[in-house]
Amino acid sequence: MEATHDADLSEVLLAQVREALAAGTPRHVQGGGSKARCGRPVDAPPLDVRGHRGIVSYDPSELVVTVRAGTPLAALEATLEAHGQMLAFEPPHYAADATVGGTTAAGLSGPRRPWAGSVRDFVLGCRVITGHGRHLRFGGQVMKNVAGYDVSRLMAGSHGCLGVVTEVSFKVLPRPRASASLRLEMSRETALRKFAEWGRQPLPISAACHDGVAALLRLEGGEGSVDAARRQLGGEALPDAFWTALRDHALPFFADPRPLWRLSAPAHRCPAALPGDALVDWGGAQVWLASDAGADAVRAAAVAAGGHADCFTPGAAASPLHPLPEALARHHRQLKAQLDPHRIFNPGRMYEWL
Amino acid sequence: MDGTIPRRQLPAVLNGTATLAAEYGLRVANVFHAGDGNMHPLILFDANRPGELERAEALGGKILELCVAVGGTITGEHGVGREKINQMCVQFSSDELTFFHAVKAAFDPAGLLNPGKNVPTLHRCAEFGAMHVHHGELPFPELERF
Repeated sequence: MEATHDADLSEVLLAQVREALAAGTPRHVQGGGSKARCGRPVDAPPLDVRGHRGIVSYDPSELVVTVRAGTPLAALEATLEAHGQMLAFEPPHYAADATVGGTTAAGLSGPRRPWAGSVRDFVLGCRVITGHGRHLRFGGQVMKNVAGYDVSRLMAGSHGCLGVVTEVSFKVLPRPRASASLRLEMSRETALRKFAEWGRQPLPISAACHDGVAALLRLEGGEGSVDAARRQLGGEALPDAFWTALRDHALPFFADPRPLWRLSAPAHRCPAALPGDALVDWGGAQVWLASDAGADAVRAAAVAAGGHADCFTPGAAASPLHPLPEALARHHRQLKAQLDPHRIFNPGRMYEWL
Repeated sequence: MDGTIPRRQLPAVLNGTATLAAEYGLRVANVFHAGDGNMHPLILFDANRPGELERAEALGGKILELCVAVGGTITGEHGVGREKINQMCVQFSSDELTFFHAVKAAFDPAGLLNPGKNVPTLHRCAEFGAMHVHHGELPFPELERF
C-alpha cells in the first residue's frame, strides 16, 4: 500500500532489517518498482521503503535538498520546480510511482547527463541501514566534502545490494531561463559528426539525440544564447515534451516488442549498427537498441566500441547487466561480503552471484 | 585548514573562528571559497616560540570541529591523510568508521596500503577522546603526539 503522507519510518525499516538479519532471510529492498526491469528479479519478501517519505530539509539558497528515500520523485521535482530549481541529471521516472531511493539505487540519468552529470555526481550524502543493522550517515549537505570514503556515491547505482538507502541529499541547480528544441533531418553518421562539431562551439546544447531520421537538439540557458543558437542551427521546432518522453521511454520507439538494450560507449565511438532499430542519445554516448540480435552480438558490438550493454527487457538476456570481467567481479564480491555479509539485501539483483 | 560548511553558516563560523583564535592567543587570516562554503583559515604562528606550533595545531582542530558542529565537514578539498585524522573521530561515529574500514578491507584485505592513514582506528579515536583539548591546554603537553 502506498503511503500518501510524510512520515519518518526509519525506526520501522531498521527493525525490519534487524529482524531479517536475525532470521537470516534476505529482503527485496524496493520503492515503486518502476526500475524493476533494469536488473534481475529478487526472490525474497519485500522491504518497502515507500512509507518513509517527505522532504527533510530544503534551503533553495544552499542548492541542496535532503529527502527521504520513499518520497515520490514527482513530488520532489514539483517542490524544486516551485522554487525554480531542478535535479539537473534529469532522472527517468518510467512510471508514476518512481521514488527518490529507487532513482539513486538504479543510478540512471536522463538526456542532460553528458552536459550536467549523472545521479552519482549530484549525490552529496545519504543515510543507509547497513548489513550490520546500523543506521549511518555518510557525506553531507555541503558542496565539497572529501572526509572519509565516498560511500554515498557508492550507493548510487548499487541497486540496493549494499544497504537500504533511507535518505539522500542532492545538489540541485536553477532551472534554465530559456529553452528551445530543434529537429534537423540528417543521417546518423552526419548527426554524430555534427554533435562532435557543435560540442567544440559555445552552443548551449543540453540534449542531443538521433531517432534514425533526424537529429533532435535541446538548447538551454539565457534567452540571448538560446535564440542565437536557434538561429545558427536552423531546423524545425520540436516540443520540449519530447525530452520527457525520451527520458521516460514513452516515445513510440520504446513500444517495440523486440528486446530493448542500452549500449553505453564513448560518444566518438558510437557502437556499430546492429540489426534492429536504434535511438542514439547523449550525443552518441548512449544507444537504445530494439533488436532480436542475441545478447552475445549486442555485447560484442558494445565492447568493441569500448563500452557495455544492459538489457531492459526481462527474460531476454541471462544477465540483464553487462557481465563483469573477473577483476571487477572480485571487487564487487568483496564489497558485498564486507558490507552485506549475511546477503540480506537484494541478493541476485545485479548478478546471480552477487 | 580546509573545512566546508553550509553557506548560511558563514557569519557564525567566521565569528566562532575569531573567538577561538582569541582563546588560543593566535591570529587567523580568513581565506575562503565563499560560494562553496569552503573555509581556508590561515593560522599565524611563530615556530621559534616554544609551544606555538602545538597551539596552532590545536586551534586548527577546534576550527574543524566547529565546521562539523554547524553541519559541515573537516575537509572539502585537501583530504584527511594524517594531519586531520583525529577530527575524523569528531565527524564520524565509531559505526561509520567501522563501515569505512570494511570498504577498505574490500579493496585491501591484507591491510597493506597506507595503514593508519585516512580513516582512524577506533583505538586512536578513544585515545583522542581521552586527550581532548580543554581550554587550549592539552594534558601532558610534553608527550609527542602521533
